[in-house]
Parts: sequence; structure tokens; C-alpha cells
Amino acid sequence: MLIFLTVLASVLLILAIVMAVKLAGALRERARCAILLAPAADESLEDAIRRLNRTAEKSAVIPELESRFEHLIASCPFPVLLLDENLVIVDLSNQAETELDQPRKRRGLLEGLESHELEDAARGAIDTLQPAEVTVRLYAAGRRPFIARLLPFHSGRQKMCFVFLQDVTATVEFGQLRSQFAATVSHELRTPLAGIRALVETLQDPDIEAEDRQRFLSQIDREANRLAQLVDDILFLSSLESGATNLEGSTDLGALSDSLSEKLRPLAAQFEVKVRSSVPAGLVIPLPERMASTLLTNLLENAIKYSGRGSRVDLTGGREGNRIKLQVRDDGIGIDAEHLSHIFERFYRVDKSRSRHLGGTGLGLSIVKHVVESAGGEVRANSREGFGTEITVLLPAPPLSG
Amino acid sequence: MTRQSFHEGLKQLNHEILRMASLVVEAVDLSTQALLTGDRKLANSVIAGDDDINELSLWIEGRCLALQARQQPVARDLRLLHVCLLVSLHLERVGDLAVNIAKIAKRMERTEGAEPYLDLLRKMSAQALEVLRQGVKAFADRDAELAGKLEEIDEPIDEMFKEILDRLLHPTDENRDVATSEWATHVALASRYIERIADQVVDMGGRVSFLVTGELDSTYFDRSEADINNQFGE
Repeated sequence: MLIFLTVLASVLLILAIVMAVKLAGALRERARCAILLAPAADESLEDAIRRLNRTAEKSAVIPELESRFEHLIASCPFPVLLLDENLVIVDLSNQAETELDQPRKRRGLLEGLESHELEDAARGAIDTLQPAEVTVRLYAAGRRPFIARLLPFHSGRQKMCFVFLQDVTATVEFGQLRSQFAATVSHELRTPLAGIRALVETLQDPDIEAEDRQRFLSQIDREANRLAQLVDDILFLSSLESGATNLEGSTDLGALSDSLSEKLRPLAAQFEVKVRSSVPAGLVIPLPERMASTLLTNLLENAIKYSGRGSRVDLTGGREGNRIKLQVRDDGIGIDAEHLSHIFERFYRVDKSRSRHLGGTGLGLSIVKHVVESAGGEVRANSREGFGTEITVLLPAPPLSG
Repeated sequence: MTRQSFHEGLKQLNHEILRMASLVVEAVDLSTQALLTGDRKLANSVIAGDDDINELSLWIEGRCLALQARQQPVARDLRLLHVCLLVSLHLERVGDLAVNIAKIAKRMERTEGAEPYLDLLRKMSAQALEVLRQGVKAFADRDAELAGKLEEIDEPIDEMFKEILDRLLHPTDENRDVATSEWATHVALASRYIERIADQVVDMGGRVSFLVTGELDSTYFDRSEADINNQFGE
């Protein structure tokens, strides 16, 4: 009996010891997981994943890993997907659900995002466990371009892959705009140059009449001036945009408009346009004189050149509350509604052949818009075909003195 | 081949069809982009890419035949194989139409005053792409309801197609100079191809409905085929 009890007691003791050791082991494992999973303060997500990749190889299953990720993923402020090794979407961020057209959990990547390119990249990343990056157009997101960053890792159980998506629509559009602008500028610069070269070639002929020689020379002069004006305008616009231009200062618009109307009289006569200026003396606008003069010259020249023979151009100005209103109105041919919304764009021409022939650079109104907006104002255009055009500039008025 | 691998085979088949669909969506998008912008490089990439689509289509056809022959599937499985084959044929045809559009993109000169036509083509293309995407989705989700809606999404495309033809056939003073016979032929053909793309997808929707419901819809198919219903329905 005693022997039996002793044996029983030892068996129980051994069992208890085994249990205690097991429990301690489990607790240790839990503690180790917690340490592994707790992100260091300065650790990026990518570093954390790399660290987990290293430890996952050594350690057994890390059970909390995926539930931790679930939290992390859901709250990501951009579209993120977590894929398993069969490229099935295991998890996704809330942002992915709103930005993309219904990707769902437990769906294949191809079904969810409809991109074979992304699938190929994800397949490669998971097979090699190498991070990858690919630019794809996602039809599931209104065919917007995205950069997809693929970050594969080993969860201990299986290979998995994060897909971080970044919408790059703005970048791509900006790039297109830039190359389009470069193409237009070079085209605009080449046109007068081509004219000059052709004229020079003709002038090299020794038998040319003196009269023709003079005519060609003055034509070269005109083209060269246009080229110089164009380069000036482009540089002026870019300095305005870079913010390098000094916009501090104020100008008496009354005095300026009088002197400008005088200066533009020959041009007006050439186009048979009457210019009338009625800006009260002492009306001050918050722009340095050079800027104010550029603004007004561009507005008036534009009206004179494009309103048509026999029309009248009126420049009016005045204070309206805390703003200064400046208006250039003509009773000329007007601008079609289709073109009106574009006239402040660079190099936009309503009538391409005509405006080049008249010597415009295509930048005048664009400069007007930039100058006005840099000074915190706004510019509007109104027009009716056959009845004339009205351009209104509104500028913040300097505080009234006294 | 065991049942397990039969289902693996179906899964793989489904996956490859979706892959082909993704290629076709891209081909349609890029070819219409090329048409609207005159980008020849883009047009060439569509033409070159069609080989991949055709190859996939052949692979899918072979796989459908092999699975039918070896597994003798019935009811839904049989319908699935049958519909997979047809969907891949529809998609392949859409890919060919994209190539046709790309070829026109290479030949069509830019003309001033073409904007109203290009605008209509732009809208048609966007709508056709939408029909295509929804068609693929209906197949992927086995969604008979969505498949049934395709015809409705297709309607504006037919309207715009008619409008383009009407404009070309009855030039006004404004667009008389634009519509040289060569240019007009290109525009008419391009719009016809876009319209055909959407029609192919609507037909594809009919196949998807059949897959889900087991009933051949008489709007899509001849009435004479309707008695096949009883043999293949569950």
C-alpha cells in the first residue's frame, strides 16, 4: 500500500513538473512573440518586416503575427493589400476598399484588382522573397496609375506579401504637361527662327534687288524682335512662377494708363482701333510700376490686336469696396465660348494663323493672369461673338490713407 | 485525374480567363488611346500584344477540351467548361477588334475640326471599356444580374455610333472640309469596331447568365436553341 502511494505520489510529482516546464515554455514563447512584434519606436514598417523575416526562419509559428497585421493594415492611410502565397487577398486596408472597385478578402489578386502586371510582379516577389516595385494602371480604380510596392515576407507558416499602392496620377499628369509645354515652346521658338533662316538664305543671293534686300531685312528684324519678345515673356513667366519676382510696391494707375495709351497710339492707328482711357488719377494698385505696366500693356495690346478694325477699346478703373476693378472692354469681333475658357492658357490661340501673323507670342494673357494672381487678385473674361470682349481684373486695394 | 485535380483544373482555367480578360481590357484601352492621340508607338504595342492574347485563348480552348474529354462533366461543371470556351472566344474577338482600332490609329491623319468626332469616339471608348470591365466582373463573380445589365450599359454606345455615322453622312457647312472620304472611312470603321467590342461583351453576358441559371436566354440566342435548355439545365 505504502509502495503504491509512493509510486502514485512520484508519478503525480513528475506530471506536475512536466506541466510546469511546459507552462513556463509557453509563457516564454508568448513573451518572446510580444517582444518580436512590438515595433521599436524608430522602426519603419519595412524594417519590422525584415526583422520578422529573419526571426520567422528561426522561430516556430508566431500565432499573433497575422492578427497584429490585421490591425495595422486596416488603419493604413493608403491602399494596402496582404496576399498569401496563392495570391489571395488575405487582408486589406479600409483605404483599399474605398479607392479601388470592390477588392474583397479571400479573392484572388487578379479578380480583385484586374491587373495581370501586378499579378506577375506579386508572383515574382513571393517566389523570390525579394521586394519589388511596379507601375500599373488600375482599371479597378478608374484606370488611374499607381506605383505598387511589393514587400514579401515569411510569416512562419507560409510566404506572404504586402502590396502598398500609391496613386501617382498627379505626378504622371505633371510629367505630361511638362513635356507638352516643352514641345510647344520649342515649336513657338522654331517658327520665327525658320523664317529668319529662309530670309537670310534668300539674301545670300548676290543678284537680289536693293529694294527686296531692304524688305527682307526689315522682315528679319521683325521676326528677331518677336523671338526676343517671346524669350522675354517665357523668362518673365517663369520668374513669376518661381516667386523670384519682386511684387512689393505700388503704382498710380491713372498716370500709367495715360502714358501707356500715348505709347500705344501708333499700334492703335495701325489696327484702326480707338483707345480711350478713363482711369481716375491717384488710383493706386499694389504692384511695382514695371509689373503694372506689363499687365496693362498686355491687356491693351491684346484688345487692340484682336478686336478687329474700326472697333473701340475702353479702359476703365475704379475702387470697389476693398478691391480695385480694372476693365478693358472692346466692341470687336468677340471670342467664341469654346475658346473663352482657354484664353489664359499659354500659347493658346483662338485663330492660329491670324495671331501669329499679327506678331503675338501667345503668352500675353497668361502673363496677365499670373501677375494678377501673384498680387492676390483675379481675372475674368466675358465675351459674346460679334459683340465684343470684356476682361476684368480685380486686385486687392491698398488701405485708404488718411 | 482525380476529382480534386479536376477542380484544380477548373480553377486554373478560370484564372487564365481572368488573366486574358485583363490583357484584353488593356488592349482596348490602349488602342482607343492611340486612336484619340495618334500615338503610333502605343498602337504598335497593342498590335504586338495580341499574340499573347491569342496564345492564351488557344491554351484555354485546349484545356476546355481536355477537361471535357477526360472528366465527362455534367450539369454546372459542363456549363462552366462550355461557357469558359465561349467567353475566351468572345474575349479573343475583342482583342482582334482592339488590333483593328490600333491599325486605324496608325493610318488616321490628324485633321483640324475633327474634335467633335474625337469627342464622340472618346465617350464611346470610355463606355465600351466600362461594358467590358463589367462583363468580366459578371463572369468572375458569376453574377447573372450584372450580366443582364450589360445591354443597358451598351445602349449609349449604339446611340453614339449612329450619331457619328449621321454626322459623316450629312456634313454641315462647318464640318464639310473635315470629312474627306478617307478620314471619314477611318472614323466610321473605328466607331464600328468600338461598337462591336461592346456587342461582343453583351453576348458574353448572355453566356454568363446561362452559366448561372442554366437557361439559354432567347434575347441572346436563337429560339431554335431553346430546347437545349432542358438537356443542360440542372
